[in-house]
This record gives sequence, C-alpha cells and structure tokens, in this order.
Amino acid sequence: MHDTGTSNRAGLRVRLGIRSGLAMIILGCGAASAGPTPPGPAAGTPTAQMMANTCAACHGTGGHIVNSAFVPLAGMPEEVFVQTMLDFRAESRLATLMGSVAKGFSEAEIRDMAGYFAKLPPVPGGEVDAPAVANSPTGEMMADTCAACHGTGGRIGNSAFVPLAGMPEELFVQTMLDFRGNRRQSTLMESVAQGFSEVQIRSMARFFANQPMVMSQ
Amino acid sequence: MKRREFIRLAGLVGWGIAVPASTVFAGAKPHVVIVGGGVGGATTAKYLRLMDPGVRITVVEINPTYIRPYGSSEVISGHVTMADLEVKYDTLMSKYGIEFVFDEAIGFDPDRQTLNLKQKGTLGYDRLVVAPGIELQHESVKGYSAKIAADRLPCAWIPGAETQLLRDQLKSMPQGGTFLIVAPPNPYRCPPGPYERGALVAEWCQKHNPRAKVLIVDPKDNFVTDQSMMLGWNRLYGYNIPPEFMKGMPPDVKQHSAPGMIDWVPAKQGGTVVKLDAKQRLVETVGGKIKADVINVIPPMRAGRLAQRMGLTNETGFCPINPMSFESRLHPKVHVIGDSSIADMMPKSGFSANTQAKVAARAILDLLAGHSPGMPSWANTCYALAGSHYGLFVADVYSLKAGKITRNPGPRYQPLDATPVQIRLGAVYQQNWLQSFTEDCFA
Repeated sequence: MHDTGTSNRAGLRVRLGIRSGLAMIILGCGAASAGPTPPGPAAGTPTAQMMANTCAACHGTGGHIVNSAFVPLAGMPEEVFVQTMLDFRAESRLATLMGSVAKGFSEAEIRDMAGYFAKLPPVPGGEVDAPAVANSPTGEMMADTCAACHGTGGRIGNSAFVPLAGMPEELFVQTMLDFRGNRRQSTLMESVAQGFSEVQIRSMARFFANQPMVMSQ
Repeated sequence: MKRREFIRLAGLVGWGIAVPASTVFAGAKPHVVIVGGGVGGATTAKYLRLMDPGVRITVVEINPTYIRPYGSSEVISGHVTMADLEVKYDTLMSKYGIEFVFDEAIGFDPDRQTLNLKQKGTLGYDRLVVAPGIELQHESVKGYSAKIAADRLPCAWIPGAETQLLRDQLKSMPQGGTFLIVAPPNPYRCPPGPYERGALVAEWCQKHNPRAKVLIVDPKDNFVTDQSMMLGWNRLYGYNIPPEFMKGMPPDVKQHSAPGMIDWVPAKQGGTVVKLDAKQRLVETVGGKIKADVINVIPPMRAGRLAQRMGLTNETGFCPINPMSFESRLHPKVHVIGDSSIADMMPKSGFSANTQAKVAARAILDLLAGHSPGMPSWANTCYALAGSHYGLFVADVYSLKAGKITRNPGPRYQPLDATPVQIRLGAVYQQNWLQSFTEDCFA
C-alpha cells in the first residue's frame, strides 16, 4: 500500500511525540493543580476537568491519543467540540455510544468541557494527522487518493465533483460519516467512506482544511 | 530506602525541575498508599501524580504483572492469548514516579495510620486507597468450590489459569456438546460479561463445533444490554427472542422453528441453580437437571477479601462510601473504589473503577490540603461483542443527586435500529477501547 520505511519513520515521530507530550500533560495538569485547590465550585456543578476526566478512558488521558480509532480531544476548537456533542445528542451524527454519553451532560456542561479541552495542548507535535495506526498512511497520502476525482490538492473547478481544498474540517468529517452511515445519497462515496476509519477521515479533513481554496474566476 | 533511590534514578526529580514543586503541602510530602494495582488502583496512582507532582504514591500489589479481566473472554474464543492480557507496571513506575511494593497487604492500624504487609513490615499513610476488586463466593453454590473451579468447572471471572482451562475445555468439547454458563446474581463484576462470553463461545462453535449448544442459566429475568444483545444472538446464532423482549425489534428478526445454537434460561423459566455435581457434570436448576460437557460457573461475588478483613464491608458484602470522595463510611482516611465499593447506580466495571479513581484522587488531594472535595462526575462506557464483528454497548453518565450516584436519564443501549455500520463500528471501537482504556489506566 505504502512505503513501510516512511511509516516506520512516521511511527517513530509519533512515539517521540508521545514522550515529549507527556511532559506537556504533566506540566499542564501540574500547573492547573499546583497551589491550593480552590474550594469546590458552587454546589451542583463538577469542574470541567472532573467531567473531562470521564472521557479519558477512551479518548486518552488529557484528551491525548494516537494510534486509535478514537478522536483526540486535546486542542479541539471549542465550537467543534460543542457542535459535535450537540449533534451526538440530537442523533444527527453517526455514533455508537456517544449519543448516550452526550445526553448525560447539559449544554452548559458540554461547553465547560469544550473550554477545557480547547486549552489543552493538542496531540504531540500538533499532528492530529499523524498516522492513526502504526501502518496507517498520513492524511496527505490518503487525501491524494481523492485527487483523481476531486482535483490535485482538492482543488477543482468546472466539475460536478466538489472541491475539497479549504473545506472546514468538521464539514468534511460529517459528510464522510454521513456517506459511511448511508445517510447521504451517493454513488460510490459510501464505499469509499467505509474504507477509512474515523481517525483517518479526520486526518484527511485536517489536510484539506489547510489547503488554499479554489478562487472563483 | 531502595525504592526512593530508584525513583531518583528514574528521573522523577527531573519533573521537580520542570514543574514548580507543589505548593499545596509545606513540609513533608503526604503519602498516599494504594492497595491493589488493578484498574482502580492504577488509575488512582496515575491521576494523583497528574494532579499533583509532589505527593508520594505507593501501590501495594501481590502480582508483578497485571492480567486484565476486561476482554479476557476473548482468550476463551481464541481471539487473543493469555499473554495478550498482561499489563506491566513499568510506565507507572518510570514515567509517573509511583513506588510499587510487591507484597500482600494483610491488615491496617487505623489509629497509627499504617498498613501491614505480609513480608515487608508496615507502611505509613496519610490516605489509604483500597481497591481489591471482587472475591468469588464459590462455596455459596452448592457442590462448587475454589478447588473444583481450578480443577474441573472453571469460573474464569478473574483471569488466570482457569481462563486457559476453559479455553482448552471448549476446544476439546465433543462435537454437538453443550457448553453451559451459570450466570451470577446481581451485583457482580462486568454485567454484560456472561452474555458476551456466551456469544463468543457460540461464534467459535459455529466454525469448529457447529452442532454444539451454548446454554446460559440465570437466576435473573433480565440482564444488562438485554434487547440489543438478544438481537445480536438472533441475527448470528438463531436465538429465539422471548415475546416480552420483542418490543421495538426490527423487522429482520426471525422466529426459528428449531432453537438456535445459543439459549438463555431466565429465573422464571427455572434458570436458578440449586446445586452442581462436578463429577457427573450435572447442573440441577429449579427447572430441572442439565447435563453439560463444559460448565462455566460464575458464582456470586462480594468485596475483595482485604476489604472484608479490614472491616470496610457492611451486611451487603460490599463497602459503603461517601460518593464525594469514596472515603469509607466505616473508617476515616480510607477510600474504597471499584468493584468493592457501593457506588449506588454505577455498575461494577473497569470503566466505573477508572472514573471513580479520578474522583477519589481529586478528593484525596483536596482533603489533604484541607479543602472539601468539589462536585464529582462519573461515566461508564462498555463495548461488548455479540460476535467479533458485531459490537454493542452500554453507556451512562452519572451525577450526584440527593447524596446518591445517579444515572442521568437517556438511552443506555445500542438502539435496536442501529445500522450495520454502527454495529461494525461498535466492534472496531470495542478493540480500540481495550487499548485506550488500558493506556488511561496504566500508561
């Protein structure tokens, strides 16, 4: 499928990333909790960190995770977290158990957690698009498989196919998940979308979001 | 002390340079001692360190390697081996500077605040966390004992030699034989576990022993994941769903003329076991006698033996705690988390123990600093398999309401109209969960 040498190097980078990331986690948490812990907040509301800790068993300690089908939450933009959780709650986004989880929190609590995760340093090296699994291609490499229809770098005009360059990350992810869940009409995109894990879709989304858009002429 | 030397060598002090020393505690470092290096104990240790770089943390554990119970039924079905269940404590020691003492805790002195070890003397503590898991009550099933479990009718609910024995017994079961699972009464560790195990055994039999029967006898009339698991059984193993569980089932559910490979006998159909005859491999239930080739008995459970010995249990056999901090209601400065604790509506699961550990860690640091603990938050998510490509789940979020840990309202189980993609994804996530969960606890 792809050059294993590249993927080994990528894997090493990820591992190194984890190591250096650990210090960040500890620093982050240490900083957050160094000094006397303020007395418990007003009755009835757990802190954002307390709630966010309940996500960690799947989404990684401090929202950091690599090498997983689960999405890292550290550094996720606040609105993306909130919108995603609200979509889970409304069952407008494909999920397994996240509908149940999201319904367990109020919108205010979701916003608290979103604020918490947004402030955490993202996955080591900022590489949400790091290979999702040890042998997974990079976001760019996977995105290149779209180019034959959607244009090199996702830039295409004058076509029935949608340009992908500059597409907001969440729009790309949601669209692919809708294809995958057969909730959006398509020809072959359901099959294509099912070929990628959610993390892989996210890493492609990140790649396309950072590509310069097609300007209308 | 040699351990301290080790910690220093391991570079923990390096953090001390990178991270400003904790200002929470002036003077001597407080010492938190954790008994039990399972999910609850390990997560407490790790999160104490993440929340405070200064506190001294010691875990007392009998076994130098942890054998994870979650996912261990996959050994029986041959998806993984016993070696895959092993989890090392190396990362907790080297990256988080947690001290480990491999010894057995045998008691404590609550006044002097010391823990007694079998071989290595005593350990002083400022706060003690007790996370001993469950004890299996073999003898409460007439005709069953720990020895019979080890030799002939494995339980394999705490993974180890019995897990491998059960795997071997399944493999050597005669063609067309019966694999019988005796499900336990509530409360017990891993509520969906016996039913997932039955499904995985059935899946194995489809390939290797296609005329075999998998029978689950139960002292209960329902179980966690209920309809969603039954739907999987119906689709994969020809299970006939009882009429009272048919509400909301999708149109592809079939009623089969002959019973399928898997069957479930609830209490109201006589599923409660009266006694066992291990030699004859005969199980006498309220509904009659059943002869089986392999018998897997999952007996009633109570809090781990150490919790009983320390006087932390009440008449239920489990440990009453204050949900704000998981501090024992019977002994101050001792916290009980995980399967041994009475956590109201939370199930006895690894995920529960993991989120309880984080609540306890935060509360312990607050209490040590003289603050009252903040409002806690908990969750439980559990992916289960009806087949290796058929995932389902139970998922809940919990809040403290009127002094009790209360499940927030909402659907808990996979919807019955889940798409094939969601079902497949559930199985992918189940495998992922094993990995990310282990990392959050141990790495």
